[in-house]
Amino acid sequence: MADDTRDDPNRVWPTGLTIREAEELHKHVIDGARIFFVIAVFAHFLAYVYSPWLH
Amino acid sequence: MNQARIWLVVKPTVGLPLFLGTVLVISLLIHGAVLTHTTWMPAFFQGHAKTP
Repeated sequence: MADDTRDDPNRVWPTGLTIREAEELHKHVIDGARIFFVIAVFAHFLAYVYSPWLH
Repeated sequence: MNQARIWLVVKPTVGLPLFLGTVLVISLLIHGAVLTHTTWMPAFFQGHAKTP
């Protein structure tokens, strides 16, 4: 099994992922960052409303 | 979405914890900075009876 993956032309080293696998992973990373952003914007809105910050 | 090929260079088992850990550290630093450089955040934690 190990030899197959090592000779697979789609796999890119040093990590040995395929470009499709990297893009699939990164899509989740980006989605997570977007959710984090939405939560952060909401938190900053609450801080602006309920704290003396900026007024 | 043009940075996806980073995972061809950085192993996800290393890159993901590093990335998320860094976001955590930055968040703690900023909360600490606000806590120590404002009066209202410590006051929030101190709390007091609601003024009628």
